[in-house]
Amino acid sequence: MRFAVAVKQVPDTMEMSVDENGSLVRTGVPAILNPYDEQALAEVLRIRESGDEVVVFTMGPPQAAEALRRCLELGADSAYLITDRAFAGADVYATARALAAFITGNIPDASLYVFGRQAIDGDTGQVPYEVAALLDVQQFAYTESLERDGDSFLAVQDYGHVRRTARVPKGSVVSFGTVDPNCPLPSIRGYLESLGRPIKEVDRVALGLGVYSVGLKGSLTRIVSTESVMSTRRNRRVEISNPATAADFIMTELEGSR
Amino acid sequence: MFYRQRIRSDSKYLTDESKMTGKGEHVIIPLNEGELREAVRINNSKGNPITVSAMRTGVCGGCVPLEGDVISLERMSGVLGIGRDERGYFARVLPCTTIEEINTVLRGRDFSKLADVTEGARESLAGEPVPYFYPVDPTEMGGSIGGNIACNASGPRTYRYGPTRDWIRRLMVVLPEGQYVDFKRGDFKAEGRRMSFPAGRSYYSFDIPTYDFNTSVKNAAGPMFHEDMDLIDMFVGSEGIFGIIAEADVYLAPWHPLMSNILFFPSDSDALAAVKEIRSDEAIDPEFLEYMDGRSLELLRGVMGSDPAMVRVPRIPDRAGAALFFDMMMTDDMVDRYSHVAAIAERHGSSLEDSWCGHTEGDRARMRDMRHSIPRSIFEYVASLKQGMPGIHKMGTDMSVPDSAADEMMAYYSEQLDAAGLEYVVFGHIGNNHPHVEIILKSMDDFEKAKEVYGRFARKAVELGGSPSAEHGIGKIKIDYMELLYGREGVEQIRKVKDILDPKGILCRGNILGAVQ
Amino acid sequence: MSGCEGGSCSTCGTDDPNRLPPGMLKAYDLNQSTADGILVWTEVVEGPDGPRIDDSGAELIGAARNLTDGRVFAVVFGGTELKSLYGRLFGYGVDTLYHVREKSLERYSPEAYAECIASLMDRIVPAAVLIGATSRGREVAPRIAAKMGLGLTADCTGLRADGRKLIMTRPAFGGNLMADIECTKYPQMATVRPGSFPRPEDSEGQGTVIYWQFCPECIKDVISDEPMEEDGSDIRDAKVLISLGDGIRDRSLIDVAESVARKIGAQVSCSRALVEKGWMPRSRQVGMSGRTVAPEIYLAFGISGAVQHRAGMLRSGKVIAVNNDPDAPIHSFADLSFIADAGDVLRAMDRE
Repeated sequence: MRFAVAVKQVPDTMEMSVDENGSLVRTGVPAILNPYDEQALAEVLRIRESGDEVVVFTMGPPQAAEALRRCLELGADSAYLITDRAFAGADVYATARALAAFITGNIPDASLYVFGRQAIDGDTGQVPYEVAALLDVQQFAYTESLERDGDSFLAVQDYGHVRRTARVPKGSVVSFGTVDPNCPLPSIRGYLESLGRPIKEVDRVALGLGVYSVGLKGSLTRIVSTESVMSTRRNRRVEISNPATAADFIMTELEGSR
Repeated sequence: MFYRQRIRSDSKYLTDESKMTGKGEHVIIPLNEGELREAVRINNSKGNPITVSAMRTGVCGGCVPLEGDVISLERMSGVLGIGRDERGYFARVLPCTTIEEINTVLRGRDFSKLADVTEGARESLAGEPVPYFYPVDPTEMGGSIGGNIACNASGPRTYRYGPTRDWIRRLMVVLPEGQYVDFKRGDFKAEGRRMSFPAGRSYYSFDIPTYDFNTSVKNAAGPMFHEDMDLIDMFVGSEGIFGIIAEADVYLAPWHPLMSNILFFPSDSDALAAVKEIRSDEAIDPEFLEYMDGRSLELLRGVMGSDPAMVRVPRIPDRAGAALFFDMMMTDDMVDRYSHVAAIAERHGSSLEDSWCGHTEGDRARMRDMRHSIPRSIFEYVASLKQGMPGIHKMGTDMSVPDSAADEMMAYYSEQLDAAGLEYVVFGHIGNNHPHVEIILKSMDDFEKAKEVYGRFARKAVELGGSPSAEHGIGKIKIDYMELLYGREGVEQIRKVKDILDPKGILCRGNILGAVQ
Repeated sequence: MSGCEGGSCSTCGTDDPNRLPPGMLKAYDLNQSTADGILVWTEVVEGPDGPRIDDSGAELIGAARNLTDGRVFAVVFGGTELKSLYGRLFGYGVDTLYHVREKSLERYSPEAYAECIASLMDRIVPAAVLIGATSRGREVAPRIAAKMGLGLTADCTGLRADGRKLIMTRPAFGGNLMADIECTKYPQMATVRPGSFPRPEDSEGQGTVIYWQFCPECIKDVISDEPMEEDGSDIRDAKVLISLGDGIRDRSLIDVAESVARKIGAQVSCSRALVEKGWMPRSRQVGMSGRTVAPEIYLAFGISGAVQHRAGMLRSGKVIAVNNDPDAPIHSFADLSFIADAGDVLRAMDRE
């Protein structure tokens, strides 16, 4: 079987600090593999059997290759970096379109297309489902666990009010909804083996997409304006000896916001 | 004028990480060296004892006052400047700057707000191809540099970089009578065993003790003395009994990308056997070598789910029966160097599959978190016992021995503890033959037994040519070791030096020399 | 020459023989979509007294009513039991209701729902489609958008209309930036975070119901759907969350928290520590390994605020923390923090 895992490089939001204006400080923050994607890859590696192949791919700037390196160290077999200056500024649709074009051109026969639920740097987690629609395959959102069942798979999905168990046919899109903070680290063996694995680069022309199909020009939404919101966290600290006082205060706050 | 406030009985100034609690009247918080000297002078004229305190991260009660006032240096913090001499770059720092703060400033590589101690040093350091850092890693990165110097702190990286002492270029020390001495290494040296130096309008000259401080092992037991010694070395590791560090120059080392590794072994003996081979293999060349025995791993597995501090520690493989943790500098020949690791691992029941590695800061931090969780978990466990058994405290060894005696000491630990029927974990700086043995106390009875066994460990370590306090220092908790090491005479000789520098005996009473009778 | 500019009269020749007479394009707007009105997918949830209109659906109908002068369309999936909801839906402001009564669609299936809503959009050609940013909405909306090649603004917290053009507001970059976004094509699509608009008053109304015939091509092979909570509640939908952490040392405090929650109309969630202890189900866990929530008020009791937890509640409105550890990181990102014992404060709130 072949598994294709889509990943993203993100700034480590855990390392981000807040400046005096309440804005996130992004400079100097290390870039990491999106934890949801790392979990998705770990799930795939867990169900992989000998003879299976795990391919990872990402769309991003050249330095996103670091995130792919990490995937190779964890045990992925090969990696693709979809990169082109023309991809900059892509919205969900333009992103999904490029990813779908990549999949159709390079790994059309994968048993599963696996995603993390969302990127931690503030994206909304729509990409997997747009890709599923463009590939015209079934989608399995909020997946908690995935097991092999003959030629297909069984997924357990967390829909909040219901937990769904469903059969996942070959070629579906699966997005994993959780992160395991205690996930394993690469082994030294994994690291050494990854050194020999190349990262193939794919650009816009190789995807066969025109300049108006990708990036900002290929986007179907447009940011009209942005407004920075000053930190709404007022950060008032009160040391209180009588719990009833705190209780009163909280109750009043609740009333006030009704 | 300086800030002086009465201490409440539950004040943070009365305790440190040893959880020992003391007594004190006032806390004085000087803003600068001038205020510090004024405070010392006034207290000295009244004969009022003062105990120096900064981040209170010590584990031997060094900053816990027994009487009198506390001088907290908390406001004297920050990196002042950058300089360069024939040995290399150094940073000029105030005493309460934490190791973390020093490294953050250096990592930021923006020195525009700092002073040039030597001309052009800032610009030249900023232009270096790699960032620099202060390499002594005392594990507790939130401790102050002054505290680190006062107890000659060391840690895992002592394996490569040596203890704090080796990184001190210059000190400004405020003496108990209110004068100060500002000097570099090499400015004042003893002639034989006669030490002389001027300070303000005074001139001190005295005989130093006749013992030779053991530098062949990692050692933090008492102040250093030896023939023709440098005055710097007398203050480094003296735990504040001779003077207060008001400013220091610390040398910096170039930072290199590092690969952290944890190698799992089936059993304790396999891991310990591998230690020796890794240490003697020049190709591997680890930055440090840390050991976690099977019981430590079991302890971590147990607290994994409930301890929020373990939140990102990777799950420990079920098969792992012991582990070695070591960093390697990232070089072009990693494949070759790892083949040496592989050969050693395979000889001792492990392999490169049974391992973790990581070169990103996040991954490396996850491995460090795991190692640091062991002492913290024990600390919290003991704290939970305190309710039922108020007298109890953590029982951990801090003893180092020479390479040749490492096996004997390890065997002695388990033999004695097993015979006493105590539960324990072993982990720590195995590269320097300095593992920590922590007893998991269950009852006051255990506590009594443990104290007794500890005495024997200390005697054994000294007998084998080691140190009973390799990195934690003496403070107020381990003063018994002083006589064990230096005899009654040695301690008396130290006291004589103290009497000359601090005739009224006001400074840091109780540290090293014990309470004055 | 007649003195006109750029050939605005028929006497001036132009180079382009296909060019329409000047002004005509503007007058007739031939290049413009005829899309009008707003379509809302209204989720229906099974309540103890039969089917109920999900809050997010009701809110969106109310919002749509105020945003358009055109028609408000709604689509619901389900059987005849939904008839009882018609009046209420019209009361909220629906003009035309499409009821999909296909048996095979009574069970939720994202692919078929997306296909069906897309078929309706072909028929209605609405100017905008609004879908609640619920767990279902978040996966169906993008599927529709990609299928139809439309722009989609996800997780909006505000909508404004400029004619039929929608300006959609959503937080970006961890909530430090509010971005106004528009779609470049009709129909415009948005998922809207529950609670962004007031739920309209309940009233009975009249309107047109159309049974929409749709036969899905693909039906999921669902093996089971187990309800996770007895009351069908989801912490992601809560407006107020009482969240409990490691500082809750006594299990009975969970009951106290539940009792307070009932009183103030909140739900109880927790940090990872309590799930690990087995005191709370995983479905109540907030954080990276649990759920991402964005209530209006987040009350953190005894939560230390590890970064992983923080990631799950970063978008909350107001954060109030109670923790007796003054060094707990939660205090640094709360609007208001009390250094006090979480259990004591909870009990005091319960007594009020």
